[in-house]
Amino acid sequence: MTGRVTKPGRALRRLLAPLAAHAILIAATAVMLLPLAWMVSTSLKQSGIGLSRGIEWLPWRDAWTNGKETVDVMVLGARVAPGDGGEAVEVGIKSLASRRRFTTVYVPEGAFEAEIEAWRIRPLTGEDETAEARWAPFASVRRRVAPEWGNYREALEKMRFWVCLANTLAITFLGTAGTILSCSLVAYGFARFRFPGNNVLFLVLLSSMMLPSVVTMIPVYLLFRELHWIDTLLPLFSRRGSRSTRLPCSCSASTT
Amino acid sequence: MSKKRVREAASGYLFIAPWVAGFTLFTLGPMAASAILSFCRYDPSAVHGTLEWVGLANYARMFTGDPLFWKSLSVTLRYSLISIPLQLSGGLALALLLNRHVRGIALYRTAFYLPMVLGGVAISLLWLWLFSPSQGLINIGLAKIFDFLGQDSACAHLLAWPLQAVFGKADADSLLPGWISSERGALNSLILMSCWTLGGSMIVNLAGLQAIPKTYYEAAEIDGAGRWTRFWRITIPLLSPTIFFNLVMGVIGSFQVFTQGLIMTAGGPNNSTCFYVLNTYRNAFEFFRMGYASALAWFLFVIILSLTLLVVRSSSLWVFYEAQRR
Repeated sequence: MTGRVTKPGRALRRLLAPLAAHAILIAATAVMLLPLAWMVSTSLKQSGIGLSRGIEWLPWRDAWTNGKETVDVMVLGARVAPGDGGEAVEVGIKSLASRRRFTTVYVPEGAFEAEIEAWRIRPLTGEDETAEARWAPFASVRRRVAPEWGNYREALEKMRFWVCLANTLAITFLGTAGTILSCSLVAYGFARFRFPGNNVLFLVLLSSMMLPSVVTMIPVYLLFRELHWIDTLLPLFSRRGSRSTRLPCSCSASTT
Repeated sequence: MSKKRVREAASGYLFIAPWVAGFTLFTLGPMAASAILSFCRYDPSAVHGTLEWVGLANYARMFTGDPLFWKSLSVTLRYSLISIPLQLSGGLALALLLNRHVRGIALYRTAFYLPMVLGGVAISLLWLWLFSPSQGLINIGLAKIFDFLGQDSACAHLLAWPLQAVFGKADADSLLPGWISSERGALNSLILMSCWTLGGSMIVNLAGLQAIPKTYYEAAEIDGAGRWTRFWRITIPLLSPTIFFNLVMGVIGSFQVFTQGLIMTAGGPNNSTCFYVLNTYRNAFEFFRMGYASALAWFLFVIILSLTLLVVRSSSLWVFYEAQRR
């Protein structure tokens, strides 16, 4: 009998191995997805804020309230100003509706450093009653998560989204249809028929894929200019159908 | 030739006619035209679109009269020399990581492939934000880490030093890397960015890995082969056609790198990311030196063709095809 099967620690290893695999995979996935998540997060933020407030993954929005009215604001900055009872912090805010800028003063009690992170005000949460009480006499800036869905509406309107989408769809459908049609025809031709020069032509086809597009870019541009095809969609349909990298795949598929 | 053979040949030609037509019109014709143009001076923006035969002057100018040609060539070579091995090894490592049976593996694979569905322009714009020295996610995150460690602590400097050695400095007295805004770091940042789209070569490698029969590993294990031996004696040889494919595509692709240079850095700072194709594009469509740009394009074709041939020729030494066992 070999000692392998009864080796102590083997059961433990069998238990830990998938856990370690998951840990590595999750860490690597996080790194890969972080930029994408950041893009989504930024797309839901108020414009103009960007990263001026540091890294915020959720679309926080500040609202100034004095107990009677509540206004959506953007916090511009804060500075320490000498106040009556020691140091106070003057915070500049901008109303998002009226674009009016105004300042509001916070008189902190106790350790103020913890309340201020760089020049940014720490959010006042509803649960933190003491903090609210401390700041309430003057005014308070409350933070809440409010995705700016309007960004998407704005993008749709500003970039003529539907026109662009129609163009892309037209190119995709016609181009793919052309590719499938011509590639299967040509692949069938190369695979099933013998004709003089079929090997040479097939080699030419393969080597043409190696050709950098810059080589033909200039004459093709000049050609389309002569045809008055510049600023039209015509070149995109004709080129995708005629010169495709999918060809060898369908060729080999039909030969085997 | 018998009547049947003639009919067969005619059908064959008919079937490949779409490719012949497209190839002649959009590849062969333009190839010939660009070959001729490379011996000419041609400025289509001029009023009378002058086309003038200048012989080998364009090629002579490339090698003797244009420092940007040498600069762009060295930038592209550096990019390729670093990014191709990174792509190959990274793609293989990812594929090995994802080629196991754990719960939810399909989700992980999707996550790694997801960046591939974004287009080159979208990826460039996204990383443009991420790389911003003062406003970018990466540098703000790093700044937090440095704050945590203490700006003057040895730890912070130890972390900052290698980063700044590779990715440049944001400011003279800053610990943060400058990424694409520094001359030293711009190219390396673009190489780092290219690793984000490893999903493409990962998928190909993964398909290759899954085509390797399990029995080989079982047989080797019975013979007492360890993990390392199994990797080098089974995985690598049987995956070599896939690696070969990735290498060829990597050479062809990385020598034509263009979008990042145009959108993210505009070739700068100080031409440190002025890729060869970007330089060609600018000569053609910004300075309207169509003849000179054609000469540049042909030189690139010669480089890519010879490198590809070199790889293909060398393949008999290191690529192992199971079907043709010797």
